Amino acid sequence: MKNTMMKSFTVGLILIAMALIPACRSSRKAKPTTPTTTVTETVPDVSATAATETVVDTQTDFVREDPRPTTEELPTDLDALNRYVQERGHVRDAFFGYDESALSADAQAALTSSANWLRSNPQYNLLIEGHTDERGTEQYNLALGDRRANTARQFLTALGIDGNRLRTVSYGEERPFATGSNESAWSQNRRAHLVIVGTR
Amino acid sequence: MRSRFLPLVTLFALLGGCASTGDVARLQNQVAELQEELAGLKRTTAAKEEVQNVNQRIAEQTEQLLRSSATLVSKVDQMEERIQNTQGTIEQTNYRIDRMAQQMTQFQRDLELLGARVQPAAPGSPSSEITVPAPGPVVSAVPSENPVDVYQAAYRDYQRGNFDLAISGFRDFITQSPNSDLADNAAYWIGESLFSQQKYPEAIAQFDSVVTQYPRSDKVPGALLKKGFSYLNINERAQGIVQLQYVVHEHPNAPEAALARQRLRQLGIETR
Amino acid sequence: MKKILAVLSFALPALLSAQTDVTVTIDPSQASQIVRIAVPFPDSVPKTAGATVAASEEIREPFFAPLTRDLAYSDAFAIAPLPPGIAPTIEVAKRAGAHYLLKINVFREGPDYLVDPELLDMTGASVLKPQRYRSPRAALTRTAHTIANNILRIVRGTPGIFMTRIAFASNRTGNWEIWLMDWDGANQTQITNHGVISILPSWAPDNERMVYTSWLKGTSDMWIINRRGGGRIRLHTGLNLNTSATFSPVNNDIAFVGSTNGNPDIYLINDAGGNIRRLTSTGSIESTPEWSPNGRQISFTSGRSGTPQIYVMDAEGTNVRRISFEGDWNDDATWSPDGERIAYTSRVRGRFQIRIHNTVTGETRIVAGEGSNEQPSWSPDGRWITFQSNRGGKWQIYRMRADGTDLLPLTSQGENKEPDWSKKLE
Repeated sequence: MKNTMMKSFTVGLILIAMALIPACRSSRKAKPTTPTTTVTETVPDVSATAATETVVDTQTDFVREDPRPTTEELPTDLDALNRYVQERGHVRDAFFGYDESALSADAQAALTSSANWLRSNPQYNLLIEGHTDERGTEQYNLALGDRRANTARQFLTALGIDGNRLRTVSYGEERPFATGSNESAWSQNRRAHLVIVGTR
Repeated sequence: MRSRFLPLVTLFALLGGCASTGDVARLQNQVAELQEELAGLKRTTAAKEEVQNVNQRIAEQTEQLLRSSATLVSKVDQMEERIQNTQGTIEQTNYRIDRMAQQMTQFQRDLELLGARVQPAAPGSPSSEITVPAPGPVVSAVPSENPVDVYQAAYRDYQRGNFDLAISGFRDFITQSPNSDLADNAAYWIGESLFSQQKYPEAIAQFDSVVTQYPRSDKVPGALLKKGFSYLNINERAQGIVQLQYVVHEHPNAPEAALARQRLRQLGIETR
Repeated sequence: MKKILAVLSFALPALLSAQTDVTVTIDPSQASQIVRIAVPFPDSVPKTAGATVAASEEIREPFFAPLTRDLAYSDAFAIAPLPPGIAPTIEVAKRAGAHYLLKINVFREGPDYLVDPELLDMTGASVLKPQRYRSPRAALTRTAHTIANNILRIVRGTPGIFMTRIAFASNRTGNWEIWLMDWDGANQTQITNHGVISILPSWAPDNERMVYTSWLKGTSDMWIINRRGGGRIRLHTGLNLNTSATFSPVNNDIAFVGSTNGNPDIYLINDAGGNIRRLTSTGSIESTPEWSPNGRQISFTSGRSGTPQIYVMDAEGTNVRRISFEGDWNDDATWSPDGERIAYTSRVRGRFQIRIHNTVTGETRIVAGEGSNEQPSWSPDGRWITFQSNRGGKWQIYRMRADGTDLLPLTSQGENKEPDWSKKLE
């Protein structure tokens, strides 16, 4: 029992060392390109406005010099508002790989643009729902949904969104977006769904 | 075993970070430069457009800075998942090795039995061309109860809540097979059975013997912690606290250390 | 005088059970064999003044059918077929190969039904304590289960599972709600009416209360409710998730999955909502705790090895060890009442199956078959397993023997899942 433990430890060390090298390299390659381009492609104007406001938070000097105060008319009804921001891609759900809770580059881009919108609309809070596809077991999937919702939450707080504005709930596989037992339905259901909720 | 990977996770995070901490520092420098530039511009002329330009560049840099730190967070997540997968593979391999080892033991035992049965026939028969090599001193031809059966019967009793029977069964097993791979487990289960019966002083003595007799057993952190819990359950607070602190100190990465810290916190004692 | 009476009334049941022992020892091999019992349809001849005989069709479905089903599935009895059209006498029963003859009279008195069962051995001696059962029509099925339990206890000396109930979640109303049914799928009754998602019911050891998870307040919380749907309380944990709750078989603790910052772990809380303790502290996902019957071990699912696998720990959180090594997704572990076996959901080549792990020998085997088969739960006598399967296209609840035989669907309306068999016998 003790011998195998040591053996496995050594094997583990080697395996991890092997895994480390490509991890470091690939991440260096991926980072500067993907997220930046995706963001500017999809939501150019919003990110600009949002960016101005970020500066407002840290550099009080420029508060009054904001050149383009955006006066975008937002629907007052919450359902309508959620449809509005999702359709325009201002707020976007993060999708996950099978049995994964780590954020892909696409998911990061979606959350980045959502963070921008939240920054420029500080009067709203966000509910993050964690969902999974139907292929796993229900009980473990509830826990996986919780993890996904919180991965998204942590990413948003890392982007500077106040944690007090973000609430999470897991639905596991209990409330699927798409029905059907095929990959297109499954991939639709593996997500952190962002819902704008009440004003502060 | 699980806990030994923790430092690796940290190492991992650091290595993953090496790329981005450089980036972050560079970005910070750039932001500082831009701010200086901006301040200069403001002082000399109020070139509105230029201010706006720089303003936007600062915003972009800040966003990139935030994003790279957010990316770092999810990169650590990904790495953690990868480590877990590796560990799973190792565990599965170990399981297969264990099973094979068990089969080998069984095979060996069968062979010995076969040898023991062939042996008595050999001297009588003159045509003994096939000489069966005696595997050491031949024990009784019919073996007494298989030690594994004794262990399993005791464990069955434990599961059924027949703790007295379980204790005597595990004791028999240790007497019969003191060098077995399962001896440390049996000793632990005796302690756990006593603990289940709320016979805490006896449990303390038994968990103690797990630690002294089998110091390298994977049951040691559990035995130490439950020794501490036993003390607390009979209101020997000081002894209990010392035990829990010992677990934290000696096995900082075992799951038992986290449990000890939690209990200490409930007792109003902070651990680092 | 009074004393003598008391002694007599104590002695009477003792005498009766002594007589039972005699009937069993007539044929010693009988104890391990199936006992053949003849159960003629209730007599149509009135024997009690002032009561009318119940019409045969009104008692067939609610009474006679469940009674014969219970006996046939008891593992102790086989129904001896009686020739039709002949009065069921001892002689007739004997010729049919029966060891016992169960004669039943059912009468009506106002809205109530009166049931007089009489169990005769082949010497014509009565082996069942004379007792009359009175119940309204709605409770006739429970009377049938009670009689079956009594017969099993007299003949075999073991308690029966015929009065146990299965809790489950059903969406037949349009929302997932908590429901109850008898062990044979009859008598399905709705317990919650929240209009949201309410799932994962789990019985307390007293068969009186259940704990389940509901999104009634927008987030998932644990609620305790009694078997009649009353006495509802919410357990405040201060944590996220609050799922997979399960009562300790030996004290008032509840094990559940709680989460902080996306890190689901196994916690304990008492049934009044106090004394929260965290049992696991890894960075990975932990879920689905379940107590061993002696209350000293807790099985759970963990992703610490990359895929969901089954682990077991002491009730204090110490001594964690992995027990599942086959299948790339294992969950829903649940212990047999003797603590020797753990049934769990195990994915084999992309499909979920019920796997049974022997905690003593470490051996495992697969039961169940078509479709996906998940969420097993043992009957309190350890002979049966109920589980959910989508083999018919929709999720429905099934029951089978622990070896996978005698499969029977228990539900059909809407979709139904997460069966949990009540823990106490009778």
